[in-house]
Amino acid sequence: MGLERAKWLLRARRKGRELTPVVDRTADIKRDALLIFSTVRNEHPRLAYFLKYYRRLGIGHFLFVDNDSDDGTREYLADQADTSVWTTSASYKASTFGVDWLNALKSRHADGHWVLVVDVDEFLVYPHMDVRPLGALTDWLDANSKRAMSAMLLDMYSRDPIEDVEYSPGEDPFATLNYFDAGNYVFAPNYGYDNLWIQGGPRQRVFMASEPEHAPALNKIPLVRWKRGQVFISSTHTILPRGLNRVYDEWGGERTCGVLLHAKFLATFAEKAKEELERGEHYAGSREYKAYQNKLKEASGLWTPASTKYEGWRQLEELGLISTGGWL
Amino acid sequence: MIGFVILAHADLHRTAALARFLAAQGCPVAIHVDANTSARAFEALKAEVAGEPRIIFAERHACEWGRFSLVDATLSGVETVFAQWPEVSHVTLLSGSCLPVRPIKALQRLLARYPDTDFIEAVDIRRDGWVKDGLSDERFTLFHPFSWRRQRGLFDRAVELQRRYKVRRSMPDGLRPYLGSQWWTLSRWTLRYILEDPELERYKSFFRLVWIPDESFFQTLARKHSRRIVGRSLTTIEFDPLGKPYVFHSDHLELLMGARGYFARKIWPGADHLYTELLDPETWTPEPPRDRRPLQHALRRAANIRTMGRLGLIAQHRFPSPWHAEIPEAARSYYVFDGFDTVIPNFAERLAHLGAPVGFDMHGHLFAPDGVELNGKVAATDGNLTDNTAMRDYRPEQFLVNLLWNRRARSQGFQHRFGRRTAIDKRIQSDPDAQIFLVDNAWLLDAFRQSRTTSGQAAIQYTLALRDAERRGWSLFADNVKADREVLRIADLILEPERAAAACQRKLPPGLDIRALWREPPRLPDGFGAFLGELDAAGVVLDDRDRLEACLSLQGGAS
Repeated sequence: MGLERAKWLLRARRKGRELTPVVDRTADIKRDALLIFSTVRNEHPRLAYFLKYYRRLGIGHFLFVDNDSDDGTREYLADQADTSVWTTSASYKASTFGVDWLNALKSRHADGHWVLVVDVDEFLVYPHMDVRPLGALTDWLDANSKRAMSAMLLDMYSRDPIEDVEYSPGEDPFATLNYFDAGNYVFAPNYGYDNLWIQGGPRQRVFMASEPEHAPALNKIPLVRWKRGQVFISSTHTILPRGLNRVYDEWGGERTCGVLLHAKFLATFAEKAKEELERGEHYAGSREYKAYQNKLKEASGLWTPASTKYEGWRQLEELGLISTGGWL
Repeated sequence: MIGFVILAHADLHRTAALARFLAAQGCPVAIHVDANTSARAFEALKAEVAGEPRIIFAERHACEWGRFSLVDATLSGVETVFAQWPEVSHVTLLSGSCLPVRPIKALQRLLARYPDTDFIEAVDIRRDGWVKDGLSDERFTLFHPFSWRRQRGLFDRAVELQRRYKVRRSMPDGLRPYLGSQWWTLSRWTLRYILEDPELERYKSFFRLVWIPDESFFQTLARKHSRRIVGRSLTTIEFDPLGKPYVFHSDHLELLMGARGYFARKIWPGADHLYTELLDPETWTPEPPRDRRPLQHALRRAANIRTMGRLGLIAQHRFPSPWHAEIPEAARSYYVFDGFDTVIPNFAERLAHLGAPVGFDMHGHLFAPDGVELNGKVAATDGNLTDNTAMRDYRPEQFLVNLLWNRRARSQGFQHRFGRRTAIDKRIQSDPDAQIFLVDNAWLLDAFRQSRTTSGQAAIQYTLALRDAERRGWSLFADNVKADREVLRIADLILEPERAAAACQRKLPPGLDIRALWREPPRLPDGFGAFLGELDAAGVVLDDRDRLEACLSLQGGAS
């Protein structure tokens, strides 16, 4: 085992001690169940739709870390039949933005399962999802000896200014956030870890246009067949052992993959950006949130006449953003 | 009468449905359930088929992939069928994840027409390759006492050792090894001869140490006893480019009903719709029309996507490495114009106008240092690729790749001045998909315009610098120019406009009539003659000097 991986595993074990169980139903997890791992903080309005969306895809159990919510998030989640919830008031930043906590939980509960690691504003879209549940996809990945799948973030936005995009609990956020950038993504191989570094989309185009190199990373590997000893080291951008980061084809072929539709740009966003900035609990000194603060004053929306209206996975496949990777 | 043997080990409710369907069509069925399957699941299956006299169970063996236990299971299934229904004329071997893709009546018709024929893929491996991946001949010539699934290390070591010591098993007398799909339809004649072969015990003990004997035992013995073999299985299995069988899902119903065989595998256990539809007798009455093309098309597309991918696409799933291909193929050819705008006024706008109705997008200077001139002067084009220079310059090559991919339905052309932006110059010049049109000495007109604002020595210096930049722009990559270049001179455009236009025309997309741009012959600017005189006086030697003079006199000495 690489020294770096050992360090992250130890760190996960140490940070895992910060978690207090609220409700632990992990004994109910079935042998082949698909699991979701997620960290939440004051996300109450989003939870109903999140759970509904992923239950429909066939997720068997949800494992949440609640980071000190005070809006009822913890209680709501604990009330569900298919969840287990832990809580902590320790620092999100000091836990590598939640990565360590979730690594700790995965070490305990995920061995042998396919796991999806997402935030509650991220919604997986994959080929054939209208007719095939997630279990069909993981069976296909298993049959091809693939242990991880890529799903880059696709930032979704409304035609209206961000502050006008209201959202009520239980609604499909993509009824209003129904536009995206179809073809302005840039890629760079990250040789140290074998993954692809992806940037672009509306956050680069609007908030970071003058310093594109600082635009947030969009590459994600959220779907992994978990084996004890694996660790995410930076959100779900990078995982160790690094062979798992090889989710793309270098010889011209395409690999099966999806996207995470990102329901970030709702009216609550500006408020959230402000709050996060004050907490200072985000990556790179919360640079991203500072840029939002500044830019939101001048540009109210993300939409342009060259934006693409979302129609579903087939459209994303046609555009080349995702691929069936030969999955018949 | 056709009898069926079904080998099952998981998702037994699916097996029950299949068996009940076959029995309802009048066919006897013997189910072999893997002895490793839980007693509870087995009892549930028994309960599901209870009361159906045509379904019985074979003696159970503990099965393991790649080992003789699968042959044992099959033999016990066949014996069970014959013991109960001696009138059975053919036996078809199915798995628990097979489904019919044609009516049973059609199968009955086929077998009635060819009563003496066995349908079994049985390939002579010494003559034709069959194995996609893994051992072929050595399945028979080496001893394989270890499980490939559970004892991989021992399995590999055993193979290695036997190779080193040149171990070579020989086939039992009178047998030649044949390989083929595990799934077959054999006649009673052939099966009887196999079961009653006096050498059967010897054969069995030989095949016990053969690797994956379920793909060779019946194949080899059928070749020994059969009267007539049609060398293909009636069960369709489609393989992906890596040799793994495709799994079929509910949305494949239409494709499957055009499949070549009479049964298909593997069916995904969760494919409810397939199980309901294909096991519903109503689906098969009347017999639906068959069309193989949708399945063939889908298979071809899936294989292409996996192996070649879509040309010109870079994405999270496809990022061709420079180690494998210096410049991956573009979505389509593109057209780069250098220098035309110095001679032909409003060149890009006019070409864009000509191109619009015929699928050709002409952009301005996409890579100008101070701006991105997108077609139609828009701020953002398809895919939200914007005219922001910082973003373009962050990864300029990918800006180009994205533009070509996003607008791949149309041809793309743009203006460019080589010699000023090294990175993208190199990329375009070494790209076989680039078609470059170059006015070789257009820099002279740039120099002339500059000379209007400076004077004397400075203008001369500037001219020389431009010329050097131009030469450098090409000479740097001289070894590696893979783009096609159409090189013209200023004088060509003025003295021989017809020929220059025709030369470009040949290399442009059909339908784009570039000659319209020359309808008014281009003119050299006023004062250009005097400028040339200054250069002469300063001792600057110019290529094509004479023809430039000819251009000037053609304009009637207006300069």
